[in-house]
Amino acid sequence: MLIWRCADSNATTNLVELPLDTVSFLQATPATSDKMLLKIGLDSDKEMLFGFNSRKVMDTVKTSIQQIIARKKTSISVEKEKEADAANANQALAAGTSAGGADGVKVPQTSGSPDTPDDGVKNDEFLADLLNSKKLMKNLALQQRLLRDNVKLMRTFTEAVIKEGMEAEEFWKSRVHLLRSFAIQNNQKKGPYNVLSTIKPVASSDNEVNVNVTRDKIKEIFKQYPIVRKAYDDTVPRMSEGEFWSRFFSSKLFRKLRGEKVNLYDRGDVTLDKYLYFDPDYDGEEDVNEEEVGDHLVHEEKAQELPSHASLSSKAQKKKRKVGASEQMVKKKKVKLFNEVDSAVSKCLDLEGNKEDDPELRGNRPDITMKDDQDPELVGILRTMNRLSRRLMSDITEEAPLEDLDLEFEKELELNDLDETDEVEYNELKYTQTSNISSNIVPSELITKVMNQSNLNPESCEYDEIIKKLKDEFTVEFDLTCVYRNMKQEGKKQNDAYRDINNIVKQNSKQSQQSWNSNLKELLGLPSSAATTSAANNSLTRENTDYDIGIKINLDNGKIESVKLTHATSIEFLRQFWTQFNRTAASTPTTDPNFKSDLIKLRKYYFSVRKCLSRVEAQLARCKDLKERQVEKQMLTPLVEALNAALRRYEDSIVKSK
Amino acid sequence: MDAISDRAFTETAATTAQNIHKVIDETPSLLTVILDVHPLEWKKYMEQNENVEFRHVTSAMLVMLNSHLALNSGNEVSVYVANSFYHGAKRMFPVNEEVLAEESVAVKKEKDTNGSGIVGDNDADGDDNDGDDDDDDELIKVRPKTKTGGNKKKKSSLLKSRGVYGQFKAIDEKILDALDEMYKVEPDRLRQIISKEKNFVKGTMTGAISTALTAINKLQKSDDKLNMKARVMIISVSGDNTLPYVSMMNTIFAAQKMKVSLDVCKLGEKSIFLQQTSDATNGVYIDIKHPSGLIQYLSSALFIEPLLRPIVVLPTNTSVDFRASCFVSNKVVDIGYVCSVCLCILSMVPSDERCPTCFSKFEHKLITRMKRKPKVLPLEVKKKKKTPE
Repeated sequence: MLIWRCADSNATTNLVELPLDTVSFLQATPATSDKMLLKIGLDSDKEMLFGFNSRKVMDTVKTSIQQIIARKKTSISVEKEKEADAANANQALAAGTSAGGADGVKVPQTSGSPDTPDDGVKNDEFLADLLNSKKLMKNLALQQRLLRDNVKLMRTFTEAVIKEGMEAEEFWKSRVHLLRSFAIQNNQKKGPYNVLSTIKPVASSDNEVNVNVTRDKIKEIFKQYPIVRKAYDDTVPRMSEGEFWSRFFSSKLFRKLRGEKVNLYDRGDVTLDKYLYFDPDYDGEEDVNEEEVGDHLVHEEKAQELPSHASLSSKAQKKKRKVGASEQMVKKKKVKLFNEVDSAVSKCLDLEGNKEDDPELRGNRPDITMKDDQDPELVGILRTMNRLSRRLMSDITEEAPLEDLDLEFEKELELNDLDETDEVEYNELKYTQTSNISSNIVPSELITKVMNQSNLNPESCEYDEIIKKLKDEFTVEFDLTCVYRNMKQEGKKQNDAYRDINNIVKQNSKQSQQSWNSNLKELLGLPSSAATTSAANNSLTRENTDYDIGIKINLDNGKIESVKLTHATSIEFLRQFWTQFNRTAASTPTTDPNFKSDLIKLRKYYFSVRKCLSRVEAQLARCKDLKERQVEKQMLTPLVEALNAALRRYEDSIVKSK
Repeated sequence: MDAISDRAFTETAATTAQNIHKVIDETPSLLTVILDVHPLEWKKYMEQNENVEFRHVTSAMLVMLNSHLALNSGNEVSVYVANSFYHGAKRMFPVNEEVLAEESVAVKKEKDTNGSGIVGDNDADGDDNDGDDDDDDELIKVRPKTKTGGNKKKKSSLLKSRGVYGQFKAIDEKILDALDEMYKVEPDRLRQIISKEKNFVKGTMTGAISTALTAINKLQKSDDKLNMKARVMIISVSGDNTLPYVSMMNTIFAAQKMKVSLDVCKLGEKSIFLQQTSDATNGVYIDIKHPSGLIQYLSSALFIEPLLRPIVVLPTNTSVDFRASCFVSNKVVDIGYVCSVCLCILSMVPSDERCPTCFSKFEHKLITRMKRKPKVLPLEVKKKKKTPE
């Protein structure tokens, strides 16, 4: 049973219940799309559409339902397992919540926070599983999804497999790489990124500013900006979550964290902007400490957050309103002091490195962050960005185990220059020019003929004749004016030549028009708008001009498509034929237990190639217009040649029994 | 390898609005023409195209050189011959006087030894040969004189000079003289070139190209003509079998690095290596379909200054055949084998199971597997008998 209920426990009205064994298909929006919808089709031809606001949650739901259905279909499911899975699904589903918003800010509700499973290890196994060719071949769902995704492939598939009866397994066998890349593409995970920079307020039609935030993004924000989390913790019980976020996005704090410059006269938010003056290093310094300890950031943060949260909330409960900003200032100082005392100074300082990096030694101004009179705003922004990247980086190293720091120091201390240098070894190739000698310019038959001639009364060979003629040519005076006169005498040959050159240039210019146009614009310093429009035009007309066969194609798109389809299908069968042909050629009855069946299979493929040829002929015959047929014929000639070559090769290989 | 594969012709990107005038400014350039004089190929070509003669091509070439010189007073030309059996690849213009003097001595010596080597034959040969020998002797005597100018009047009759601009005349005459002399010195019989001690024939197209590139490099490095732009135009009649593949590729890479375009004016059958040459060096490859209109090709399609290349649509053949040739049989390969060690290209499995170029041993097992014949069933479905191998 699939139960869809509102996470808000008091809204019991919109409850959806589906018996799982009636589910007939699942369809989810691809990972690339912004929407997160899951379509569930039922046996009763009903379809339900579920919207999610977290892809992770949706994927979990999808996979669990998929598993359930798969089990149901193979009918090896034990009732208990099913229930367990269903329960799992329910749990996951609980995370999917309806979207609500205040002040035009669309924010999911707080309750029922997602309990997504930690997919670190699971993902790895999953991937290894995915890349296994055998499993890929069996993964029908994946294949279907790929087909749905790739229209071109779908067309080939329907033509070759469904209509012409090629085995689906054969079809996929030659396309395992596609399946693999598709599987990987669908299971890729996004690394940490600067969340705030991706949030862009959008002005709506009714003069409201809308900001779309997903739960994932909020999670990321909390992770990357502990200060926001702190502000949230401090304020949210008092104001609603929606209000908090809407105020946050219009606050100066938001601008500052994003790395924008905060103007004094900007409209801010009184409550939240006090966090501007909160020690910015409040967490950053701690991060450094914790990194050295080698803990994971998330865990530390959680650990860190808990006591502080506890203390804070208890404090907050006691003297809620009395102590405002001043309290926090004290706390900030505490934190700072604590850090200064405790922060360990690295014992290994790279003095040489410092010398190298000091710009002042070279007569330059000091680094932007090191100047006395530097605008604190600017430095602040730089620091914020640095802090952010530090956090992001520490998040990534979470996956790769940190290298032992001691080892690193040891490496640094090693005196590498005393090591013996590795000598580069080369494998000497003795290149001999067997074919490269210039004697090639005289055919060897002629040489032997000349060499074997008796010296007495030698026959004159081809060379002797021509050299005499060439010599004679230099006995007559050269008149350069005859160059043009001759041409005229022979009937305006210069016009033929001119036309010849012109045709080539026309053909080439068509091909290079696009790049040429933009080049010219660039050369003349003009905006390249014309170039882009011509590019757009090109892509529009491309359908008809994209073929380099030296003819103009005046066919309508439908005809071109049908030619393309015939071509693609035939290539499919050809591919199959050659794969099998080469495989059987390399194997013997002793090495291959299926040798006999392979031979029979090969013969089957031979006949399907033959059928392809007749299909091409039928395609041409279907074309009534003579001119069009000519064009189609020209387009298909290479294919016909390829098909005939395959047939000929097979026929040649038949050993005639006596 | 990166440096080699670097497509050296990316100047388009560097030309921007600021330097357009500078770039398209008229600066003098060098035009090098390589004339293929392969006697046998010329014979073949002249048989196929009855109204084409070598002298027509030479005249057209001279007109092209003249027009190049006319474009800019600083422009220069040079002419090379390739595939001449006797001389090899040789510069015809500008003539290096010292080399010429040395060569004439060498030629004379060679002649003498040749003569003495087959003295008996010569005597027995009779009148024909004697006459020729006389001619040759006379020539050798005459040549130094022509250079010093003693016999100039007699020689200059080769070019009908009435109405020809003086500077053109001087250069054209020199080129014609050089060609004339080349043919005069060239022995009448192949037998005289191919003898037992010297059984190879000199001077491939690649030799001529690399000599030309060397000269261009020298010119571009010299102080007074620093970085003078240059291009090479090849008038070729020979087929691909006369082009040694590896040397050809090496000259292509050299030209690529020097940013010298190699244009190809192809008479006769197509040459895929020359197609590759011009494709790799941003040059023009053009098959001459109307040989009597040759001058039209030479003065338009093959007349594009190096500086104009980035902005002109080249009238070149864009569908290039990129096949390579077999290192052993020197034939162009469709499907072949490649040595995994030295990447040499083979059209067949070598019988000794070793790479003919680097002598790496191939694995016997693989070779036998490769050599196995394909096994198929006969077409009659009723006979379900497996074919014996």
